Parts: sequence; C-alpha cells; structure tokens
Amino acid sequence: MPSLRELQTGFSSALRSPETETDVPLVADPRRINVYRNNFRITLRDTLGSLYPVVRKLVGDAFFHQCASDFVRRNPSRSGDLNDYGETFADFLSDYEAAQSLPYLDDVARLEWAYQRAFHAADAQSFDAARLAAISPEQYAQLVFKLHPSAGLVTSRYPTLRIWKSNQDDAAGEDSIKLDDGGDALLVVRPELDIEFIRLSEGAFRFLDTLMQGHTFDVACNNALETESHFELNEFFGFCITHGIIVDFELQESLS
Amino acid sequence: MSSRHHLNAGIGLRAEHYDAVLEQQPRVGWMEVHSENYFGAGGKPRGYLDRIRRDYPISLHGVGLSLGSTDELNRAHLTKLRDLMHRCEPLLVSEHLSWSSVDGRYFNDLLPLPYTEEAMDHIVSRIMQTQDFLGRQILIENLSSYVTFTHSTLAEWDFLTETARRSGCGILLDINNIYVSSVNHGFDPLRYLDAVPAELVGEMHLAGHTRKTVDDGMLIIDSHDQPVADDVWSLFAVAAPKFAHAPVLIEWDSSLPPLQDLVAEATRAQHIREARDAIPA
Repeated sequence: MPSLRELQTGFSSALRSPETETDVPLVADPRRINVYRNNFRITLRDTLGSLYPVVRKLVGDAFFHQCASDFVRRNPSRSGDLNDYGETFADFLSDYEAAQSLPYLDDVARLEWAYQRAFHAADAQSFDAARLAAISPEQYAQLVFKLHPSAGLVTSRYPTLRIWKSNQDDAAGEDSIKLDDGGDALLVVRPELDIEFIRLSEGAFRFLDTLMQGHTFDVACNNALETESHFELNEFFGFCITHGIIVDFELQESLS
Repeated sequence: MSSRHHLNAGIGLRAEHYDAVLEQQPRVGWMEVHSENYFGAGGKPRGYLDRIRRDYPISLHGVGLSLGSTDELNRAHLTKLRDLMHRCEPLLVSEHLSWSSVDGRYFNDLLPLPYTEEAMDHIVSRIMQTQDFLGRQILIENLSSYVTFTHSTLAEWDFLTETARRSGCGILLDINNIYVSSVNHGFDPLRYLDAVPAELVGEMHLAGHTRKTVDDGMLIIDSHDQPVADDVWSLFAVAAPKFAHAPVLIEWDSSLPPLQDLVAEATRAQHIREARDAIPA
C-alpha cells in the first residue's frame, strides 16, 4: 500500500496535469478529480481578480482569465493564506507577450499590490507631538522618524494614478489620459482605515525614501534638498505629521 | 458548556456585511470568521472584527492549516492563528479533516484524506501538536468530497470519531457536507449522524450547495453560494435533537445575499431547534 506521502505527491501531480489525464492512482472515481483541478485554479484566478481589479478592467474579463490562468500555472501558491498570493503578478505582466500593447499594465499592477500591502499592514498610534517638543535642539540631528507601517513608495513610467482613479467604480470618468504625460512618484499609505495615494514631488519622494531606509532626519533633509533645491521641507514635514504618515521617532545613538 | 447551551444560531461574517452588521445589529447568537482573512497585522479586517466582537461571540474557522499534509506543520501559519486567537478571544477554533499542500505547494482547497490507520495516526498527531501550540482544544470539520480512495479501510464517520477521541479535539459537524458526500459517494447520511457521539460535537454548520451534471452522472458541489437545501434542512431536523448543545451556524461565502436573508436562514435553524425544545421530555 502506498504511504500517505506518496498519495499526496501523486494527487498533487494529478491536480496539475490536464483534465484529460484520468490515470490517477488510488482514486476510486478518477474523472471526478476534475472538480479539484478546477477548484484550485478558479480559487487562485479569483484571488488575482480581486487583487487586481483595475488590471482586469483594463484588459477585459476574457483576456484576464487567460493571463491569470497562465500566471497560476507558472506560480504555485506557497501559503495557506490566499492574501499572500499574487505579489509577482506585475513582473509577470511586464514579460507577458500578449500584454505588450499595454505597456502601463505592470505599473498599474504594482500600484494594486501596494494597495493590498497597505490594506493588511499594522495599525499605528498617532504621533506624540509633546514628546517631540521635549527634545532639545542639539539632539535634532539624531532624530530618526518612523513612517506608518502601511507606508510604501511606488514609481511608475506612466500616469498610473490617473489610470487607477478613472477605473474605480465611482469614477467620474476621465476621457483621455495621455500616456506620455509621464510617470508618477506615489506614497501609498493607510493612516486610519482608508488607503490613500499621495503624489509626491521628487524632493518629497527622496525625503520619505531616505527615512524609510532608517536614516536620520538630517540626512533625509539633505537628500531631499539635493534632489529638489526648492523643496518646501517645513510644509511637507508638517503635512506628514498631521496626516499620520510619520507616526513616531527615536534618537540615534550619538556617534561621538 | 452551560454558556453555550442556549446560544442562538449564528452566521458567517463576511467583509461585504461589516457595515450592515454594525448598523442592523441582527438578532443572531454569534458570528464566525475565516481565520486567514484576519492574519494581516491591522487595517479594516481587524478593525471591524474588534468592533463586532464587542456585540457578538466570535469563532475562528481556519481553511488553510493543511492539517492532514505530510509536510511539516506550518509554524508561521500557526503563529498567526495564535496571535489572532489572543486578540479576539474566540468562543471556538476550528479546522478541517483535510490536507491542502504537499512539498510546499498549496492548492488552497480542502482535499480528502484516505481513511486508513496511517492517515489517522498522522492527523491525530498533527491535531495534538496544534492544540499544544494554541493551548486549547480545536474542532475538526468533516468535509464535502468528490473522490474516495481505493485503499480506505474505514468509513468517514468512524475515521472522524476515532480521530477526535484519540486527539482530544471536538467535532464540527457540517450537516451540508454529510449530505453532499452521502450523495456523491452513495451512503446513508443517517448512518453518519448515528455513528457520531453527541458529546464529541462542539458545533454544527449548515450551508448551500450546487447540483452539477458531470460525465458519470450527478455530483453535488459544496458551493456556499445559495440557501440551505431542503434535504439538508430535513437532515438538520434529525440532527438537532441529538446535538442539541452544539451551536449551529449558517455559512454563505459567495454570491452573498443581503444580510437579512442570511439572518433569516439562521432564524430558520433556530426554529428547528426550538421545535425540539417544545417536545416534552
């Protein structure tokens, strides 16, 4: 008698084989294995469909179905939690032959994954301004600000945010988006329960990117001003505090 | 158990109904969620769960632990489950008598086990490891299945009962799944109800299914996308007196109806229960 291990590996390869393959060892009613063959593919395809609704809308249901099926075939699920599935869909789309006429598709998919990531990210306490006020000016150079755990930066070659917005169910509808309008530099963040996309200037992007890497406020300011000499630092920093983007800080140990 | 004794019928809580639940405060006894949908660190799912559990007892129903798999038990998955458990203090925690992964590849489906002594030894030890890790008893649910294995030596009801006895877990008896499998595999569902001891059952499920024509006849698919079928209500009417202490839940997972339709199903289950209560002892 085969071991349970052998049965499971045999069943697994039968699930991945074509529907016409009915030689499934140990199964009393092998044709019925098609129910399981279909189930897992539908589950993973539907997972992609709900993760990437704008990509789906842009390409249409039939194309999405084909493309998601191809992705599922090449990218097995590695988790019992479906929320972990589909992260690499954007990379897959950028190489997907049939999608080459829609060069912005993978940018849109990256934005949708960033949305998913922010959706499930941890919550944070609001910023303790009194604690910051108690820091002496000599210590400012050691300040390391922490962003909200949901914060993520996304760049694109195309005007992704406008494409995304005009394809929401409640969108007023933007008739024409010119692809050569250029790309976006975006912050995706969920200060409370709702996810926001915030378009960033080059300086603001560099500022947040530097903070995310764990550098001090000093370094972030210098980098931002180096990238964008007229960057309105005070204004943007104030916005980050009041908007729940920066949620905490610590003091880096002095190097002296 | 006394606090559970009079728990009214419950409903599965799905994201589409969050706001309706908070606004309408439906008269149901409790709510059940799919554990994995709350594995994220924060945001809306956890925020709503925290609010809704102030008003209703919650149970956690897992679909992804892959208990019957011969891979190593997934510690990361278990850890997330334990964290969620500590956060929402569930009335009950349940999983399935199934496997869903091998060699790290997940099918995210409830696949049947062969009903052999070897498979029982395996799942008993996995349930015990899980209960040790979580620090509490779990319930194991019988599933709807579409195939059987030629080398099975035990009936499913004996496999389930013996697994519960040996591992110390309870049984989540899904009445719809008993019905679905009884039609798909040609056994008498009443035999199933007879064989399962009342004291092992800690919860019951009811759900809708779909009849489908396939190559070799008719097959019932456990679809959870419509009202509970009449045949399943009839089977529940037989089960209700025997498992009178076990809380019952209506599951509905896709093509969701308005909340009040789901509540109406729970009310119907409740009435079947109370009809039993009305009979003098």
